Amino acid sequence: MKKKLALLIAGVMVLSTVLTGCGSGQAGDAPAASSDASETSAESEPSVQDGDESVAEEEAAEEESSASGEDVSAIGSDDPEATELEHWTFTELFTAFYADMVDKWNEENPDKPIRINVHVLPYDDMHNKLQIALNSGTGAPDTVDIEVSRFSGFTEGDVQLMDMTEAAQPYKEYVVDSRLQLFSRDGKLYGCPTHVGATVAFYNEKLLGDAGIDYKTIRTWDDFKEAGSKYYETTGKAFGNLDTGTNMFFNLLLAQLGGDYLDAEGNICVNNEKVAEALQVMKDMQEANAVSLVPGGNVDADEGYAAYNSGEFAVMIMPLWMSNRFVNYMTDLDGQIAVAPVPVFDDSTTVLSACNGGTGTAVIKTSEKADIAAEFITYAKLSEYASIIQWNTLGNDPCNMSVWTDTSVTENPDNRYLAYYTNNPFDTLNAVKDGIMILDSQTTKYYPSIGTSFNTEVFNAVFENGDEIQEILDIVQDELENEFAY
Amino acid sequence: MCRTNWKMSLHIDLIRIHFLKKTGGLETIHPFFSRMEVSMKKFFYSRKAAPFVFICPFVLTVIVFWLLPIGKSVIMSFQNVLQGQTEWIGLRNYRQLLNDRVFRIAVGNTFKFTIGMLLLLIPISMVLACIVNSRIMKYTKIFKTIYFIPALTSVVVAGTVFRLIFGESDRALMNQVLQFLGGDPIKWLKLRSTGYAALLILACWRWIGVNMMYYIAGLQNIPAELYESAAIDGANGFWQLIGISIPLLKPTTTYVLTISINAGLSMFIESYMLWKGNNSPSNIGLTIVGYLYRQGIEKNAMGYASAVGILLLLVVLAINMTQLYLTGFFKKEERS
Repeated sequence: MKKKLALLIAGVMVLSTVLTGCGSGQAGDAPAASSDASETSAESEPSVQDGDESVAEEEAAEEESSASGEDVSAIGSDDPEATELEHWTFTELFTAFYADMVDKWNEENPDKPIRINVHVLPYDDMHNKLQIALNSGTGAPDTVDIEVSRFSGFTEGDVQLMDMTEAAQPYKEYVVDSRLQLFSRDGKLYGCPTHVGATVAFYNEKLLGDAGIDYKTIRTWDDFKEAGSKYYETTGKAFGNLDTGTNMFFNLLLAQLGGDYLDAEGNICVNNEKVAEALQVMKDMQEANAVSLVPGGNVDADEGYAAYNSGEFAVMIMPLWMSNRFVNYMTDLDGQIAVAPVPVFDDSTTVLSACNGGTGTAVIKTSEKADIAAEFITYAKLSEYASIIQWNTLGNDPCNMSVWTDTSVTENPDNRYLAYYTNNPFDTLNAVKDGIMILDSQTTKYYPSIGTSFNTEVFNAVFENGDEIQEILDIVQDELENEFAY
Repeated sequence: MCRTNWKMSLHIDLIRIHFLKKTGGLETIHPFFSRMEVSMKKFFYSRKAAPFVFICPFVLTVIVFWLLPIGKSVIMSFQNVLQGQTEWIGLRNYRQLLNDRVFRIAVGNTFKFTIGMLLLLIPISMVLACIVNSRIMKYTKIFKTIYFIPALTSVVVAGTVFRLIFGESDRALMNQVLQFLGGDPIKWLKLRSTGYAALLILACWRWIGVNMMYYIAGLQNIPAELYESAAIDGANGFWQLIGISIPLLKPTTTYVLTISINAGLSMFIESYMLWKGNNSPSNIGLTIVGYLYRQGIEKNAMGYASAVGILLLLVVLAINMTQLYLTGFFKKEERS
């Protein structure tokens, strides 16, 4: 009996070893991923690349549990002469995207064939590995996707990323300028954006209609506040989102007020009047019940999706890349959400939207293949075709504006993002086209620290604990001054 | 002790003889091997060289993966480290650290967590071990397994589940319990006190099983005769615990205390997972290691993070050394 049992256990162990061997063997020699993009997106989860730091990290951390080690896909030309690029990314979804782009590139440039090995690594792992590789000068890939909140870390010191300004020249006039600015330092473009991330207002037309509110009449923040109060009185439910874990909404207000986290000389100054004013505007809206605290402190997280999906909130001020969260996580709202430009303070407000979140694809300048890599990356991220793929598969608002008026894209009957909304999001994009801005501070080395301080301390103090605005701003200013004193 | 050594070497010799007989000795292959064997034999049987050879792998590991990185960190803590540019900045990092309010919050949190963990983890796991180990207890294997499972569960999974349990909406488990008991839902992970409680619960859930295993091992080393004689003298279970188990578990307690202090002071993943990242509201869950991670990894300030690390190392060393000294760890062991 015992012998039999031992034999059985031994058998199972041997079998599992053999099977594990098979499994890991597949990763390296997997053939080019099929480039049926729509299929990929159908079962895809929302991409990580858009979110702010916390979300990206959280999702990455969750990925870590399943993804042990890295996963490599070789994509592109079989030509032995083809340039072989090593690419690192932290989002599985991008593999399919690059597969599409490489095929298209090889079709259009038969004289410059490319093969790209996409290494998918967990979020933290990838950024840490890249940092160490660049600091030590060995082991870096040719091209890499860097999340926006980590981008500043790679543009300090002797920058190891390639200046792609020239390579991006053919596309520059079509691409949203603020988005390029976000990945530029001192006029040099170090990363190619994935999407615009234009902040817009998502209105739940059904809920608002039931409460007798027409979102089209909301033009200013005063209108917004009034409508919010009315909605709250009628339904007893929350109107708009107030996040304590992300500063996307706040950045928009700050930009609209003409403020920034810096003073006129570009020094860090988070306790200035404009910052206090923007906080006060939000606080007033909170007191009028026009915005309410989102469970979990961030709409872009599980609890936030759940709250919206169950109709606890009616309005969301967030970047347009929320589209893939809506379509994947808030399925009950299908056919209820309208996209509109965010309200303004008055007619003199020039900022109509703000860029938030994102991933910049960079080329390592020490790579021997840097030139062709830059040519390919700018094509793969900024060209019209790239933008179409971005929108169709991932629902990201494309940064190449020529797509925005192309009816084969904007009225594509097969696009599930267009089908989800009650109106056409491209109308909104076209309406705010000239008013999409970023804060100057977003391209400075201070920004990651400012973001952390506001997302952990300031918003919680003001909106959760009801602390004095100026008091907490002064504390945070001292903290940041100490950090950057030298 | 001596007897076992003698037995061991006899055993090894027997194996060698058997092997040489079978192969006809290495010298049949080539005289070189014969010479080599002799010199190797000399080397391995040498009382001077052999000990060094045997501890070599461990020493090398310590040097390569422990001492060198620490040395490098000490150097980096006096530098401003950027890609391709590294400058010496003297004590700036340390001066900045002393004025850093968030760092003080992190230190405060870490000590609070450590103390909480010690107060909960040691007594509870000791009592659980005694219960599981007692003769009246049935199905002990099942209980051992159940208590040990959390240690094997991925913290990522556990953190996610705990985060949902302590969620903010009124449908989260803890809030449902509160409502059932007639209370109002609270924002567990946003308040200082409840966030602290959630973190402690997660840490206890994870580590109690491990500590319990140490204590069970310790309890099984205590000779049964002691309990028998105590029982004859009329001591009941409680007095047996006070008079025999706890004093004789002292080596185990010392060990558990040491690793618990270490675990507490270097706590990071639990907090990282519970708050979905390193940024908890008002930094209520920020630990020293979390702060090191925020500076070094998230903000790319490697020099500053090194200073945090060195300070943490000194604090841990000071606390552990004091504790080990007080528990008599460094006293010379009595020879039997």
